[in-house]
Amino acid sequence: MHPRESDLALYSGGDLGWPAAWKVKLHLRRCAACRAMLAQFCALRGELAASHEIPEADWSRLAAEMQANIRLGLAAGACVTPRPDATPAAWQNLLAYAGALALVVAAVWLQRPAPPAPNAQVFAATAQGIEFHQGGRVLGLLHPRNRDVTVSVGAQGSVGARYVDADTGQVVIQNVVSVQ
Amino acid sequence: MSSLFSRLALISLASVASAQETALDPQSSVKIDFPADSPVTLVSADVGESRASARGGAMVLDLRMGLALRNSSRNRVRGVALLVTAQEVTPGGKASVAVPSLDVGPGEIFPLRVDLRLLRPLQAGSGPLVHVNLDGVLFQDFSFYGPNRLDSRRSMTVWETEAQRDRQHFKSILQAYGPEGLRQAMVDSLDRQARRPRIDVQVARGGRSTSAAGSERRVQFAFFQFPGSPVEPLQGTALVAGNEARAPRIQVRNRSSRPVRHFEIGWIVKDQAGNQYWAASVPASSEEPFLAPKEIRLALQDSTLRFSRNARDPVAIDSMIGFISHVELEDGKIWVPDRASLESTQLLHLMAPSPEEQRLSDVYRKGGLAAVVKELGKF
Repeated sequence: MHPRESDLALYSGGDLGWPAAWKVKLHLRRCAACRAMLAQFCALRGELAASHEIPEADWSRLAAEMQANIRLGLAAGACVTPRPDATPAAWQNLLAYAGALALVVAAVWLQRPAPPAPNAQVFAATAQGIEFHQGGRVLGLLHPRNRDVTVSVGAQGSVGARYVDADTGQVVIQNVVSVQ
Repeated sequence: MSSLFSRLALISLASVASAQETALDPQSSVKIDFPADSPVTLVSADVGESRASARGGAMVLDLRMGLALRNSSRNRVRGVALLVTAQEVTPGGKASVAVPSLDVGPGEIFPLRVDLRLLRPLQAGSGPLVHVNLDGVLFQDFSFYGPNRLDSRRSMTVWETEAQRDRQHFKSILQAYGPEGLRQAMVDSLDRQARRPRIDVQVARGGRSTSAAGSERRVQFAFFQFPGSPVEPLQGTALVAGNEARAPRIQVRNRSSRPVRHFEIGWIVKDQAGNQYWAASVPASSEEPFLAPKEIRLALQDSTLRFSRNARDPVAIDSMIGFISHVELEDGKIWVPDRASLESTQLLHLMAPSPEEQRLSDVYRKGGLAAVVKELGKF
């Protein structure tokens, strides 16, 4: 009996528990098809490692969490899927992917910037100007694009922009401030 | 075929957009109101390019105002500040547009642009959306006119004091080293402005802006001390978590023999790579306006500052430096650090130049050395 694809995938990365890994290792000695599949998994891991487009992250931590989630998904799949069914591996893979996806969504959700309190006053500078936000309403002062604009911030709740007007040569100083 | 569909789609989008965008009626949108005895009077106001457009459930109003003002006084005008309010849209905030470093003689007309954007729900009441009022006029002799609701008197006096300091600096260079010395000073100024490290700062009041509350630590300020400053920073802290800093608390002492009406502390942050940025200013709390001679008091603010680069990459804060950026004494006189102090502490390279230095270097960039010499000669 061939080992499951997921076990081969975990084996390729050295992530399979030692009793299961020992069984897979014995099987691989006598099964060319599984050795070929293992080679594909190894090649895929190599390509991923060589990719320069992977964003910086704590991969060790993520890998550990994803591995735990895959195990959880496999275990859940084992519980809900009758053994004699024809395609148990497909459900298990689906659950594993769903678990991994849930983990990514949860990580993004936890790391998200929390929205300001409804009555919070936020002062910010954008490429177009300086803005005051409160409760979904915005008061902003615009400055000409492509000008050298100096932005300053006041800890009491203010943001300012300063630039030289190209037409008049005047220094213009804009501010949006909080009403105390 | 697909090209035809693309064109049709573009035409449809354009027609929808044009249907949603309308010109604003100047009479109902903006009210410009100057006091009857104002030394600066409104000659004309052009709001022809102003537009309103619907976006989802909100209305975006782009107001483009070109004002022409006349100096109706007998004194030379050095600065003008306008107060812009949209009480119905943002009751918690106000805006101001100021023009310092002016040299407008009696009877002369000068332009002033006010470009603003408002975002509000579609449903709204009647009446003008935006009110533009005069907040103040500063004259050559430092006299002031205006309601001063946004402390424009202090701001414009600080800018004019800095302007006098910097004009004197460049005049003395011209005197000591000739035109080539002044040229080098202008080139150095433009170079400093181009190289000045910049950081994006967002300020929030009334609530934290991110969920990074767990790792908050109290970080001590280091201070630059200026020998001539009437106010001395003693110690200070802020709560820092990653790229956020909040609740700065700085203890200061009035070491002069005169009461201090107001002071402001400049705030430099250093990231974990050792880069320094001019981050913000911390004005003294306005609850107790006077700092008596020799009195020690705490300057504090309850806002949260969030630092990033390119508007998205967080910049983690490692340490902080504070310095007194200006002091207003009881009689309205302003103290600002001298050029030597700014140079010796490297602040000249971190802070934005004064409005006057920015203006003079722009005059040099556009008109060359002769234009700067002529400009310095006016004052």
